[in-house]
Amino acid sequence: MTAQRTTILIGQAAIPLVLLALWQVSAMLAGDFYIATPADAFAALDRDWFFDSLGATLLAAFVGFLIAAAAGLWIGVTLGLTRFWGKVLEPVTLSVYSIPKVTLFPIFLTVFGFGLGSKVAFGMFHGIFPILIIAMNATREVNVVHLKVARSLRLSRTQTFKQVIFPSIYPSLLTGLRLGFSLTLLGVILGEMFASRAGFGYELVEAITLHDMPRMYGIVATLVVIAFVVNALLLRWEQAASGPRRAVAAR
Amino acid sequence: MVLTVEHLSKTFGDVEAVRDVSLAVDEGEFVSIVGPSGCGKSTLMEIVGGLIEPTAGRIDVSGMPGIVFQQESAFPWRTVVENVAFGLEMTGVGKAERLTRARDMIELVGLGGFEDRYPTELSGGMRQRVAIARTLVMEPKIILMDEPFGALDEQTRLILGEELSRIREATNATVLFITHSFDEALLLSDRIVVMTARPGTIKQVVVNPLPRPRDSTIVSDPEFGRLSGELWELLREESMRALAGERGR
Repeated sequence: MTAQRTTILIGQAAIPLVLLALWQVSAMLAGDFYIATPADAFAALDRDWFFDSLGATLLAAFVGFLIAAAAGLWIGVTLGLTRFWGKVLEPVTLSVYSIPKVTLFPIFLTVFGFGLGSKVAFGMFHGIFPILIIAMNATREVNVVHLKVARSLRLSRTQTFKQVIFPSIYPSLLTGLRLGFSLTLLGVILGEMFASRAGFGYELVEAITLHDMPRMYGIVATLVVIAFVVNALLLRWEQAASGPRRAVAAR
Repeated sequence: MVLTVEHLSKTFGDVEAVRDVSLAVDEGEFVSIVGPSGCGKSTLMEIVGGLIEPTAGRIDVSGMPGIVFQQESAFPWRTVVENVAFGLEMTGVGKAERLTRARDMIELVGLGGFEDRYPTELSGGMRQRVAIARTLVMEPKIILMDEPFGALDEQTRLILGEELSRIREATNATVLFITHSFDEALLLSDRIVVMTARPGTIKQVVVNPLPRPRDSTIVSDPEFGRLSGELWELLREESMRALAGERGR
């Protein structure tokens, strides 16, 4: 068991190294006109713009995510609790979710203007849906028998929410937040690509336009690392929240 | 009387679930309700438990009834002891006291040593003991049990039935017990209420003459067999009617 776990951990740790090696080999085979080597890409991350871009992208993603999380959780749980509004609004949320959101960017641009406003709003718009939809479904699917236990003990609405509904939906809420963050980051970068003078999205478009392969690959690698790290952190939180109960159930 | 039900009726839309049921349960009494599936037993119990409102009739119940459901009801995010202490916690009993009372109750239902386990680490029968302990610890004036062993296998049912019989002798709890098993009803109850097919009414009340305390060996007693046959006689016709009704739908 423990030996197997160690092997699994080593395997998981090896994946980034394998990817890095694949990148190196591909770069050597394809030549630096098409693919920059990892070393060139890393060297191209110039201090002049790198930390400014990192700050701009992370700030927008963070603010967008906070708004998406607060609004998504609140609306999702409320819709899950109230049968009527849940039924009325479900088709709307699902169909808006299915729209390729990039097509709506011009609207965001005109409403929120060029720069921080539109990219935060666009990031939020991407991130809110998984958070909202997962929160709504989890709230609806709270075990009926658990709710009956709450009623048989004459619990108040607040007690029922805090003691029965919230613990039931908590792991799902974290899943929603994790998916919501990666989509928020996507929305922010898209916003930066179209209408911003700061952030990795903007730098990426510039690098592509100038055919600056090392810089482009450096930015792509940085974004991949950010997405991986945040996702891994949120995933650990999620797994800790499901606690021994799920782990044992899955055994 | 701990529970008095008078002329109780319940209609869901145009389906009449329960019609004119009157019933009284005295302190310390164990009363079982048996009847064909869909006869409104569970509806009757949910009305007594205050989970749904009756269409007509009167209920007088002392205190807040404790309820044990057929389906899994232990909270998976709480350990056994936290589950059992839940009701006490919600009614504001201090931590030290509620943990002591919960541990005693866990011991009584035979789960000693499993206090800090999570429900997913237990078998179905053990999880049902958690639900029973969580209800008993509140010391309700009356406990309602809706086929609490219905989802378990035959052997576990008999063992748990025997345990419940022992717990009942130890606590002198008043119980209204719903089941479709005559064996369970005869093992546990003082009186057995036989219900008709839907709309559920009381067909007959059978007083159980078997001496108490009883354990599961009673199933081999000839008197037990005779009573079981008598109950089946009463229920056979109703079960046929319930089945015909289902086919007619």
